Amino acid sequence: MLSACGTQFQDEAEAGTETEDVTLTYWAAWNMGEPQQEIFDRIAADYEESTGTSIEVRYLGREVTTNLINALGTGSGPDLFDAGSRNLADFHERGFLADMDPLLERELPDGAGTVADTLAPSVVDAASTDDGVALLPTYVTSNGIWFNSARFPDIAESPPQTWEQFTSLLAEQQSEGLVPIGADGSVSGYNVFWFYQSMMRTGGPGSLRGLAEDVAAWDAEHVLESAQMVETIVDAGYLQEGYMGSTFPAAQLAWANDEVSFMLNGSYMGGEVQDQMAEGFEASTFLFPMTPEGYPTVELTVSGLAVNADSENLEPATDFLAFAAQREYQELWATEAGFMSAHSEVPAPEPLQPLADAIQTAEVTTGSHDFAGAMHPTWWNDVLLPLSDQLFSGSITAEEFIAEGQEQTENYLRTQD
Amino acid sequence: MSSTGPVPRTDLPVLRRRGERPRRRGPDTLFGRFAAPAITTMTLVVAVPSLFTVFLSFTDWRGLGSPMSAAGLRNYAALWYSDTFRTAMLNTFVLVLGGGVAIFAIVFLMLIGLRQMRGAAFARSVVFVPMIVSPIAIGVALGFLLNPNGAVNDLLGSIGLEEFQRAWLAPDMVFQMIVLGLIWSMSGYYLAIVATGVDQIPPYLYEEAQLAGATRWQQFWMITLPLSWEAASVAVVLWLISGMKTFEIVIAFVGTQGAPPLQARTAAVQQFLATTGGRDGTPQLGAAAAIGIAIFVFTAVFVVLARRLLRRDAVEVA
Repeated sequence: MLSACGTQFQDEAEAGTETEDVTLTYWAAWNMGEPQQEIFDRIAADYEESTGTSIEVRYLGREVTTNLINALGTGSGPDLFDAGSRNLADFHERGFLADMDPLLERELPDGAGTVADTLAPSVVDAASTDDGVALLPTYVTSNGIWFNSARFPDIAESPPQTWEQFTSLLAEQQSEGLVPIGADGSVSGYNVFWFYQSMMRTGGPGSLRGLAEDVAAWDAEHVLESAQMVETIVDAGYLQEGYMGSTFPAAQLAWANDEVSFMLNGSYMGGEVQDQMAEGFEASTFLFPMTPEGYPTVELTVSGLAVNADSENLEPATDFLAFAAQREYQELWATEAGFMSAHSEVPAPEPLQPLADAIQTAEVTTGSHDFAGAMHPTWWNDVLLPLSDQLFSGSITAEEFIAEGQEQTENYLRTQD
Repeated sequence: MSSTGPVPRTDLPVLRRRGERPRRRGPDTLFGRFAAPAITTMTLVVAVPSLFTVFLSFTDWRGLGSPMSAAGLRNYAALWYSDTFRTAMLNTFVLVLGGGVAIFAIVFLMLIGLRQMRGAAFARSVVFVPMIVSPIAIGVALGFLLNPNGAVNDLLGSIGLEEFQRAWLAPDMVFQMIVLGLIWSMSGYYLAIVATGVDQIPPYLYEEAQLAGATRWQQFWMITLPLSWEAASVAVVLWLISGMKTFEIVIAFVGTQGAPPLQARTAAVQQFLATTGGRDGTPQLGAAAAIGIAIFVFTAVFVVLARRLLRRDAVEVA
């Protein structure tokens, strides 16, 4: 933890007239020892050296959210906290987020232009609410199909572009005695990736969360088509034996040891198994394949630093974010933590380059799970995830999935305001 | 005041103003003084939060900073219509009743087996150990043991029992595994409680029974069970209460990566999901409170039923 000594900060509004002691506070969703903690400590230390303003950090880990909501709700929250696409709308509705539009216009201390110059429009969009930019994006996550490019150089050269090409590749691998797909089937949030990604191709952004909003949405042709895409890979036996009983991270480790060829997972997966990869393993990704007349939807989930709307240190906090937006620091998220940096000029880690390229040019984007889990948590946890598990395990057909989905969504909507 | 010798304390004269009523120093006054701190504390830490939970169950609220609105009976209606909650509640009942029968069968079998056994105290301690093992450690061990490529399947394969190899944590098996895990982790705790009652039984009763030619089962049925009935009743009630709140062991089996599969969900898991909103979601505190009330009502009914069924006149040893 950084020291909490009071230091001098010259308020811009009062520059030249008086100075005041300022210590910014930050509650982090990271744990001590994680790369993200080391990155933040470095930025904070450099900022203190540069400006004299210190930052008192509490590394609270992933359980920070409940404490944070209670603290922000009672006006005792920190100046800075972690936020991202997943909770942006909720935090905005609660009035927790300071307006960060002025941040975009700030000049970077290194003279490389403004903060806005460093961010792709799709990234700015993902970091915004209806009322404008709400955080400094630091890194971006997405998802794709992971494979070992050293083992499959042909795929690295020419990845399957269409669903048909992809399923042909799976069939070919199966005929060669390989296990095409790995999955930790005990994680429903991973199982649903297949239906979710299929929906993003066939129905586009909004089509998945739309299933929670209107029973009639289940009648659309693309819903059945998406369920049948999942059914195809299950019925063909492309997944490893006993995949539904595999607990995290067993399948990821099997993939890192070349026991399975592909895994559909988040862009963070490579970093999670980096230390367990077989010798010569070169992790790489390609985008979920396109469907005929489908949507080139790219998932784009940003994470970053937000400022407390009730903070008494709004100006110094914004100043710190402009400092942290410099390339020197934004690239640490890629080099040290293995993420795709939000800075548009920072190269992505090699395995994620195809995803990073797609994000930079993306015109059709959505957030994590099409925001279905964020906007309709009860439906997501109680209707879709259990049904998706059943579809992915092969215990129900695509048609049964639709029928059950309609019935349970109707019951869910019956008690919604 | 003077005295010439020891006077019984109750005979001491009491100075009292004319017309003043004698001050009561009976048990009622003392009760009030001694109970006041406890009543105040319990009101603040139990009654008020409980009443707030009841109130919350009739609202829509996502926590501090978000608006709270009246929901009427909607949160309860949502539970009624939810297939998932129904499954979770059913799982909980099966776990409490089925798991309970198994746990107390093990407890009583061990009481029969451990009596007169050398090292019985050590055996009791060993059975108690799972109770104090961290669920995180259990989760890691289970992943190692029960994964499709885990140690259990490896062992079965190495001794030629391939046909018994399973995906132990797959949806069709995970609930049975959780029940087994719960039995394994909780039996020692209830054994310890019931054994405290058994320890009070005078040994000569068993000696006389042996001389009369009673079998171990007869000794258990005619001596151990009647004389440890109170302790066993308490253990059953404690089990009903803790079984209805089963949560940790589920997470140990399915991990913390997201929502547990439907087959592994209990009412407490549903309450957790509603309280947190899941990985991407926001807290649904009204719904979570309604689930809490439902768990409380079912638990209360079970406890009342159990107390009635287990009521016996105390057996006293002459």
